[in-house]
Amino acid sequence: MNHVIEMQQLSFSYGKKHALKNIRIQMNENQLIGLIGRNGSGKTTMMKLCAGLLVPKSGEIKVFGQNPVNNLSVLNEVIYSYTKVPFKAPLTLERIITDFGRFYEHFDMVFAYKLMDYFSLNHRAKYSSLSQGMCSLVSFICAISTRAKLTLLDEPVIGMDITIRHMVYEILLRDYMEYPRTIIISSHILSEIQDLLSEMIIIDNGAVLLYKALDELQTMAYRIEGGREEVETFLTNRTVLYKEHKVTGSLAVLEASFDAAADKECKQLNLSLSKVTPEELYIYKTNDRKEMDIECLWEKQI
Amino acid sequence: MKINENVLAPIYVQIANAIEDDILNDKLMESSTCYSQLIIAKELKVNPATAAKGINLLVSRGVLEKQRGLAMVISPGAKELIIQRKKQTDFEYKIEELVKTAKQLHLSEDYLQQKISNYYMT
Repeated sequence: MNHVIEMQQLSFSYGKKHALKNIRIQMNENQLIGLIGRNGSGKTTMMKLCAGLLVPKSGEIKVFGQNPVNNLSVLNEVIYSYTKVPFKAPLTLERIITDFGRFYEHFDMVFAYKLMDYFSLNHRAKYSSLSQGMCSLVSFICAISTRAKLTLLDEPVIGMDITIRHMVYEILLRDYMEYPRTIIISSHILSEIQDLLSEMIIIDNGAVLLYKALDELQTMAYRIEGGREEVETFLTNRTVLYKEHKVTGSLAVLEASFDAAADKECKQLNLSLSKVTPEELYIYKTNDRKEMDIECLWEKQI
Repeated sequence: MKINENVLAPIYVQIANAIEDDILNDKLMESSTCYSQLIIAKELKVNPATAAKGINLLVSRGVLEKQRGLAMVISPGAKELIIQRKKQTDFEYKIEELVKTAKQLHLSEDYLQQKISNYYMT
């Protein structure tokens, strides 16, 4: 498989604040990749570096085998799309679409107009008068219609209602099937898009925690629940990702594939078993849950 | 090895199992064409790679066969294969769960058998 994006020891900082640290990753071609991470984890920085909008402080990035910064042959095939574009003039949607058509060689004008009609957007509406959800929608329509070989969608569904979100996901999937290309999508509403994805990247604190195919992610961890002693017994000689003892019972998350031995022991100890979704895995891996701190919030000061 | 697949199964396994159910229920007949990768992806709204993995799983189980180019055909004898496999996985698991629940409720083996017979009659 070819690599669309290659990063070698890539670092970036905003002033003194490190945004990305020594990133090393090779992304596969024609995948629909979910990029997830907490606020400030470096998602947007990573996308902007891929789109040549930022210059790495150190290390190397290659898009289609070349440095993307000021490189037109690369950037003709890359679109970075985000919610609200701060256009200076009061542009109509028609005008925005036309301009996109000028910038992107493979821009499908007919498709863009069809999409505007599908979402009942008035062609003559002023961009500045649109709600946040509608702005996101216009950005999405422009981005998807470029058919760029590398499509970077940064939080594309912000402000959209649930009906429109699902329409957008369906169009994303169908257009990806019609025109296979690499699409990277960041979202905080991961549960809604995970079935569409083929791969997922989890970043935390400026570093890549995981880059895996979706089905691998779905089977790399599991959760057990039961009595405190039984859970502890099960955990002997096993690596624990997360553990919690509560009054109503104990739970533990293990980062391992569930095998026959684990199955047998689970049954003996009467432990119940459940799936850890990629979204939960990401929470367990990135959230140092502050159980004690939360109780403190309502403590009376004496 | 009998892992409780239902709880931990990734989507592509769920897709494979759902196709097997359609074969068992005669919605899909042996020697006829199976749903294509594109249809599965479109209608279930999953990534085409996931749909392909589900189909490939059924090929490795012997339930589907590749014929003429890309068309996937349900193998003759697929139904029997599925029955044999499910007997040892899903069915075993369900019985195990049932007996576990019965024991938890202090129900006798006779009571359980009586109940099962009743359901067989309806």
